[in-house]
Amino acid sequence: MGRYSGKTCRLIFMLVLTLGFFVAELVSGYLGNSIALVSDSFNMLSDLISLCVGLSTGRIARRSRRGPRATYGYSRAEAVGALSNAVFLTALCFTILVDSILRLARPESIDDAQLVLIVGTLGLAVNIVGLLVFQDWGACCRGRRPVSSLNAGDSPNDQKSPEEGSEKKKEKKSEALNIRGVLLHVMGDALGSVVVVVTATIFYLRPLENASCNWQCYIDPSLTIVMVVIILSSAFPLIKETSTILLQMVPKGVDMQLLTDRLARVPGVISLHEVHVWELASGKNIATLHIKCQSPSDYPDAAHKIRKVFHEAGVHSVTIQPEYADHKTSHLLCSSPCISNACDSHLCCSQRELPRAETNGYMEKSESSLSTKHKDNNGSRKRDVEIPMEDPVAEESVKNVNSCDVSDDKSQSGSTRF
Amino acid sequence: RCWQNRRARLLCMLALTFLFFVVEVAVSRVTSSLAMLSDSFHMLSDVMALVVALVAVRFAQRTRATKKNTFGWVRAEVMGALVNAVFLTALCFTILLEAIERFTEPHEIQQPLVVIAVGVAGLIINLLGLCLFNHHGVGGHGHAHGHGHSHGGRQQHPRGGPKPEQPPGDGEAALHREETSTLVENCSSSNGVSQEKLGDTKDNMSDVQVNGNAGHYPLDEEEVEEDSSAQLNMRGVFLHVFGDALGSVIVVLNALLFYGFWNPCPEDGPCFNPCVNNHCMENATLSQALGRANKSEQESITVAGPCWLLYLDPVLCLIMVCILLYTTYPLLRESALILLQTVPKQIDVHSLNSKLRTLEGVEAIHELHIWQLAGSRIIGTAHIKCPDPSTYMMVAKRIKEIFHDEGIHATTIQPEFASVGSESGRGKCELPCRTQCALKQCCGTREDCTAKKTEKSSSLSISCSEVVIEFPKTRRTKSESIPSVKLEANTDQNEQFESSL
Repeated sequence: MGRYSGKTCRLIFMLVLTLGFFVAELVSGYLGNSIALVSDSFNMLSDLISLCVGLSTGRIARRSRRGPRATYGYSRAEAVGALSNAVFLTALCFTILVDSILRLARPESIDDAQLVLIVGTLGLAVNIVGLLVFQDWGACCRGRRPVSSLNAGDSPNDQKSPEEGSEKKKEKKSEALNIRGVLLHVMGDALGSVVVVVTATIFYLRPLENASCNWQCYIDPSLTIVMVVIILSSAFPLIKETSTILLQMVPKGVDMQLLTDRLARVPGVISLHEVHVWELASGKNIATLHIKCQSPSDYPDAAHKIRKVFHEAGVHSVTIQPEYADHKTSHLLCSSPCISNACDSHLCCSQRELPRAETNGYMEKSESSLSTKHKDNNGSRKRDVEIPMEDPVAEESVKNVNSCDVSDDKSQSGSTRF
Repeated sequence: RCWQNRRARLLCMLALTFLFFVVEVAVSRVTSSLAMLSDSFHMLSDVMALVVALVAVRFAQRTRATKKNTFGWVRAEVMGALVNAVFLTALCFTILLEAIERFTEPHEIQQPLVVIAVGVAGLIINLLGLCLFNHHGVGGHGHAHGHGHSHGGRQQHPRGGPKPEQPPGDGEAALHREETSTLVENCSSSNGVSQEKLGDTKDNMSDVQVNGNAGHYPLDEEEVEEDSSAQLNMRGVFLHVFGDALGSVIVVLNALLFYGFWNPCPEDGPCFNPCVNNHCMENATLSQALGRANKSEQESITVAGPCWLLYLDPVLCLIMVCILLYTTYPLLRESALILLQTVPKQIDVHSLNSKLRTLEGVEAIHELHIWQLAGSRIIGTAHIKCPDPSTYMMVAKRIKEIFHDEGIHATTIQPEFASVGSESGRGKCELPCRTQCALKQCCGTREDCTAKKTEKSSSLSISCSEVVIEFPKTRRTKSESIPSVKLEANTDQNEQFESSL
């Protein structure tokens, strides 16, 4: 596939094109003394910035050299870059919105409709070229195809084929996370150019004689507001997707409940806890878990089967920590959290809170949990106190309700403009 | 308790700022001053930053694992910080554009008195906000969470000995407090640290515990200290408020100078404004004509005030943008590094690796990953190769202790037992996923490794107990089977490290 994948080709091409157009617009704006041109050229500048961000994060992610500073490499750079681009775009939309509201309050007409029309059309052309370039027909540049077909040939199972299809799609979709950020910017710019062209056409065809503004002056701001709404509504899904990766959420294709059910049923496993599944970057899922086995001989088999379960779920990097059950410990708690319980605040998930654990065959339910926890809290570290688990189903529903509420807040903040 | 504190501050500032925004909009309608209206929207951007931070704080309270997120939502604050930093950068960019536009087309301030009044009010509010968030400061010196002693200092949470702050309540409040205490425990107490019982776990690690924790409570660590991810979040807000304060300063300064020195064109009478240049030659000829004109005529023509005043605003804006960008960049970098799953600054993976390797019974280590979830929660995973299970049992505690000393408390150690005849496979993983998954493993795929060590693949494939490798048909398959292969035989010290990864 070589150093230059399709993505980099396209990004560089767009970069050069946008840079050229930016310079041209700036120069002609100053020569022709048109503020509209100058401000439009700055839109191109923001495009440039987003392209630079996209390009650089793509390169960083591809470099992906694991080293002492980043044990996973930098493959997440694309997600961070996409998030930055989306937030940048949101901020720009915010300022554009502010400007258009001000215009609504004090409408102005376009002075030199002809010049604006010409430049607007040119800008639109450049943006459309950009949109086309970033579409998915760089198939020649993309070397992924031979891999996936080989995957199909390699696997012994039939079950792989539907998985393959979804994997391919996943690759395509999430591989473009980087490009999507840039694409959003280009699309925003294209829409802006459309608005400019429409307004300029109207003013060109029906020029205003005197300085007074009629309905024509209100077209620009209102169309701009519509444009902002469109852009934001398409930026939001991108933000959501990158958050899924960056917040260490469970990747989309993985159902935790199902997974833990299956894992708990693996023979040799008494219970499991500290199950974590997260997505490093597009398509790369990682899991860690602690299992309790009866004896050391159970472990290798169980490990093999556990990996199989994970593999079928789409998680391929798994780290399993075996713990051997002794009677003193609750089945649900980690036998070796850290060397002392004092580290609890630094654990990724506190041991003293209700652990997400499951035991083989059944799940412990108990009503009163909190009094026991406080006993624990006050210093009796007898670990043989079973810290009961609340009904996980009820837990889930409560959590879901909570997260729904908060995600509402989140969406609000994402779309807050005024 | 600390998150309550944070939330209270954020809400307070949010209310203030929003109120002021409304006031400013109203005033601008009354005085029909466009500049004020556009200035009020800066306040609105502040409001948005505060909302983002609030949402992040609310999210980050839930440290419990959920179905959607097995780590809880603690990372939300780091993300909030990144979003705020990028947002601020974008705002700086737009301010920059406006300033450049003002350079080419300067315009005067109308009604400087009103502008001064509102500017001062805004400045006061921003200064108040700065005080509110100043505790978290721009420097953002999170007390390091890595070292043995510093994290020892964090053990100031109510455990063991009786703590007055946490009487056992019941029901909701208790649950809340539980969550609070596990999130930011060091905020609550500052006493009784030394007599805290470090808990007796079921296993005989008590001696190890004493080794790790006791006696390391330097007094300066006992101050109230926040989780560093919360600090990041607050820093983001602080920077926004700081930027706004700078903006208000500029507005007030500009308006004051205008009021003092500007000589406006009166409504009536001839007026010549040399500052508004339309780059036509007429202007030059006009000024020449004026110069040659009669003295008496000259006096009746008022010339609008010193032109440099008009350029003051853009210049100050430029300076402000530079300051803001300079202070935002560290925040951006820090939050991005956490989100990129990099190793936290204070941990040296090389030395950790060598410490682990020198343990008795540890043959090899690979897939060593250290990353920071948020704040002081650092997570590590490793695969340790041991000759047999009993050796592993002996060495497991020591391994955890080594991690603990580095400040990594949430670890998942996978033991692997060397299968017979796998001498050549010292460094490789006994239990990878199937070959075709190599692209999807976290560290599985390296396209640039296809050239390397392909000759080794066959020998290793035989010794690997788990992996089923179809004999390579094309180059591509080789690369897939390589993830275990490429961990081998790198002579360079640096690459040696990579091989164990």
